[in-house]
Amino acid sequence: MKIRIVPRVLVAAAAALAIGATASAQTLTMAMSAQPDTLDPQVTSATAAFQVGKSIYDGLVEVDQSGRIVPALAKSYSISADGLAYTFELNDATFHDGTAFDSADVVATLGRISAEATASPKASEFTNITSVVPNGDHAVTVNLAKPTPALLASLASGWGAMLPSEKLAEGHDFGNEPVGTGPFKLASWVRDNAITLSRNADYYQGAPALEQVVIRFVSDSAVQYQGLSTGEFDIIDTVPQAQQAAVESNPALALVREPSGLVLVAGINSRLPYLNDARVRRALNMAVDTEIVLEVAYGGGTQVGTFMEAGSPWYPESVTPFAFDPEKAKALLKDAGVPSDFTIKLVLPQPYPQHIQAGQIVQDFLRDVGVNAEISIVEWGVWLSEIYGGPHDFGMTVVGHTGKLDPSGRLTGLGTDRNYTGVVDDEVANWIATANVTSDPAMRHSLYSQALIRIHDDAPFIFFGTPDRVYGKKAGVVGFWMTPLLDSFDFRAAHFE
Amino acid sequence: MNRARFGTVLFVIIALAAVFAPQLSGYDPIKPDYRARYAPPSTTHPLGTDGLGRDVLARSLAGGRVSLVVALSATLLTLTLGGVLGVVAAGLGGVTDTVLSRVFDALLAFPGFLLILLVVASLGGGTLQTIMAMGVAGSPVFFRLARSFTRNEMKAEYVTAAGALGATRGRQLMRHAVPNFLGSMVVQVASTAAAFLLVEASLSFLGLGVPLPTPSWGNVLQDARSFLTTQPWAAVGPGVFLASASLSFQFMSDGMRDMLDRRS
Amino acid sequence: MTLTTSPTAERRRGLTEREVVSRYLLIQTVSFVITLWAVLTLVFLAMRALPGDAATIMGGLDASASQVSAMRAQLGLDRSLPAQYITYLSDVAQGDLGASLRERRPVVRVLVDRMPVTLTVASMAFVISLVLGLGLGLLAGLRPGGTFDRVALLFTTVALALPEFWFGFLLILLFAVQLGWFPVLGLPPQGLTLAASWHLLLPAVTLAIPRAAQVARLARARVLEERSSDYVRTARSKGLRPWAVAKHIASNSLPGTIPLLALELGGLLTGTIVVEQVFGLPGLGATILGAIGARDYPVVQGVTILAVTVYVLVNWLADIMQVVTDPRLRVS
Repeated sequence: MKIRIVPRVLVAAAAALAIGATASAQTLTMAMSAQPDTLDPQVTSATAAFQVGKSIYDGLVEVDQSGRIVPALAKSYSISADGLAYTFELNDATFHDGTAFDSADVVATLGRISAEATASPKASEFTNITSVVPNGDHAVTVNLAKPTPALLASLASGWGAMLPSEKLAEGHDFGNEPVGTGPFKLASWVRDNAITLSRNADYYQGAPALEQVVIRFVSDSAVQYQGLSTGEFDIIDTVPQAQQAAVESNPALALVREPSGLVLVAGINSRLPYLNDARVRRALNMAVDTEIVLEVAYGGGTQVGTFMEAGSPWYPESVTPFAFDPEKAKALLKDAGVPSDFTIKLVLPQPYPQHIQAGQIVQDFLRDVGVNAEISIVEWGVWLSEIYGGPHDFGMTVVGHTGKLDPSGRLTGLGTDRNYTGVVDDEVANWIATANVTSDPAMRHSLYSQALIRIHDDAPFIFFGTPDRVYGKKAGVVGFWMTPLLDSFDFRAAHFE
Repeated sequence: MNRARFGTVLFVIIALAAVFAPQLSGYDPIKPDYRARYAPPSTTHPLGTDGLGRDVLARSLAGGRVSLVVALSATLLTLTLGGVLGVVAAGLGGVTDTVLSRVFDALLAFPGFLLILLVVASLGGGTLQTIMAMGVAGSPVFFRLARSFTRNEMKAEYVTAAGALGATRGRQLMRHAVPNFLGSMVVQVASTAAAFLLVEASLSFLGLGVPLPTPSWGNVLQDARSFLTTQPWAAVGPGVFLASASLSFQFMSDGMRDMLDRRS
Repeated sequence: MTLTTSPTAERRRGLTEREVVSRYLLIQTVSFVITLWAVLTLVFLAMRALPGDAATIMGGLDASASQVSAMRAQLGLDRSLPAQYITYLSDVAQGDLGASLRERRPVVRVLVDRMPVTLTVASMAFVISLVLGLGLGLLAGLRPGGTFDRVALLFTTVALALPEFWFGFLLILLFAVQLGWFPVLGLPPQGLTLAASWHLLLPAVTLAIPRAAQVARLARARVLEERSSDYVRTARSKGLRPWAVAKHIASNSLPGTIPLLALELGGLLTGTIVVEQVFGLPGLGATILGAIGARDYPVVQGVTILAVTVYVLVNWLADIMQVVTDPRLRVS
């Protein structure tokens, strides 16, 4: 298998030619609702860190606008027939500190993310790597203990970013002073306020059109909208629902609505009485009008019937979302012997106003089928340690599972007690584990499909669906896009018209 | 009308409005109505509706239930905690007094809001946690008041006289000293309640106070914040109720102080 | 304030000036150290009582249990609580506040980065509340019962009842959204600059109004006390001009407000938490909230130490100031 794709150089060059704008138009300001904790790609799992990191770092491969994995710092790659060796031919690229990118950097970068001392939250994605062998300066082979079809996805994700080996050897603080090969360099970072990025003129795919990108941290969507309408911001990553129509009808602004990679669910704790009965869990799915949940809490989206984002090639065709049917739900609950005063503790994570709103809607629908949901709002750290992990002190909880380039990232752990829903199904766990190390695409697909169909029937979650990603921009901003599934910001071709 | 009476009347009106919120506004403050989301003010919804289509007026009125209960319970707790220990410290004296005074001094050296924030955060947020945190944070003021009042009263002539007549020390305290300073404490109580109302709202604003969907003035305001620039009325309404309630306590406190001043 | 004795009390016992000062300093220092230790212990325990730690949060939804424990070990969070506590106390005693778990750099640097915004807002608020509060209180107190006094009383009552963050909302709505005089967002991307410091006026006013009301009330009460004192009556009867009398009253009564002002100033450092949130300012308030959320223990502890130290020191200075400025307490 050999893949070669025209790099984005041409696109960027064309974009660069297209602008003859003034100096002020060279700076793009974007409002972002979250903010990175660190800019070291190997010690975080925060989406916000990778959204910003996308402009500073590059991986060997990346995701294109259609969601395919394409070469990036690697000119091309080939995979051995047994799926145990990945060979990458490297591009000529330069790090922000002036050193050249070569095979030693790949060896050092992959060495660091796997090292115990790094304690990377993503380390497990690289555990199958047995060795990384340079073939001269411009080629490298990654050898694996067993087939790892998800390897390319890991390398294309934010945590697959390539770092300079010299700086790694020095123990450089990438978290505060990132050095990558990316289209922009970090100019300044005022925490809780803004990150300023400046153009990397030596970018290997051709310098980006913009001189500067300013990313402002604005958690308030009302303030984001306010800034967009007064011209303070060129792009905002969230448009409040109440203002979406106003953005759409304003000729100076544009509303972009595209599918995100999220799967929104209400996880059900099957360790509890009645909730351990699949009939009850299915009934809960029927009791909630998920279309309303998606529309009201998340601003619209597509319903799903299993644990995979809508529109994914991995989504099994035979699975349809549960239909809203409170009568059938009541009948099922009665069959399962659920008492009339059945009460569930519905835990919602702060600070996610959308999940909190969704929870209130779920509560309202459950009341109609005679299930009493008591809402408890906990802070994110508490949620992670007490609900998602640890004692699992909840009946139901609302959360969004972020997009993954490979289904293994989303599905691993399901069917085992390690999953927070606690629905144990050895067959599901087995299918997923086997698929994770299966090279043959058709075989892999059918294994994941089987698992996803069973997950629909087992219903460890109330499946809400995949929300739309709705962002706003000035009509004159073109060439900006967000990476499918990963939601990273790509400013490389962005410019003003 | 004097200020104490005005404050009391204002408080009663707000409290009644809170209790009868659904009847007054004609809407359930908790039940969502998905067809009427983000409605602007109208005759049917004077303050519009929120993101779940709930009447903002109904929620603003009902918000008083929790907010007032939280502020008053916390005040009661802080009064009891600080007051009782203050009397005990002064009454027993010696080591007890020294230890208690040290503890409350340390609490007092803690900037108030930071203390409340840390305690609420460590308890995980929520209604009961808020009450407890405010109760602890407010107590040093009452401790000091109670302790110095008690000490002064014990030195006062009539107490000494009662002692000469053979009354026990405990009875002296209960009969004479304690009732005497309670009057002055009331002033402090009312102004503490006013402050706690605002603190509860601030905590809810930071996401640490009373959890949804139960409305409190703080969380209704926090909700309204996300559409502040486009639907300001949703933030103005509950804020006016909150400020009025706090104002009513303030008036009570001021009025009572005036009365005490006049008497002395 | 933690003083159990005051310079004035000592002075009455007939000690020399020098003895008084050194005794006072010693007692204050010991009491400060004890207070700081108590506060540190409280914060240390409060943070650890909160479920979840920095490793859990960094791990998020995807990290496995073994990865999280590897991260925990790397951050030094796997050690026993007493061990962590002892290390922490001895570090602080040596002036080392440790390193931020989230930002992975010294806490001192985090504080130095974030302090200017908070200090600027706090000092602007202090000046506003000082000028407004003393001015109102003085003018109201000189003519009690007059129109100005009534208006001032109404102002202070309402100001004390205003929810701070809601008042901030109103200011944003009026001055930033309607009139467009201020940007909706607190500071420019580079953070606090001299040119942008006027952006902090709205948050400063938000903070200042209720504090000005407290100062005004106390100032008025002091002025009233002073008015009824003997020397004022004598001065009046001797036909001293009202302006001169007023000046006398002011210079004698205003030092009495110093302890309250100090309390206000000391509290401003953390009083900005809510206001920073309302105006989106990257100061110490935003830092401590973020740090609590991320279980960045060293940063929470660091901000608390800073806040408590400033609080205690300012109150202590106020004691001394009061002695120095109050003519009645000055040793002849």
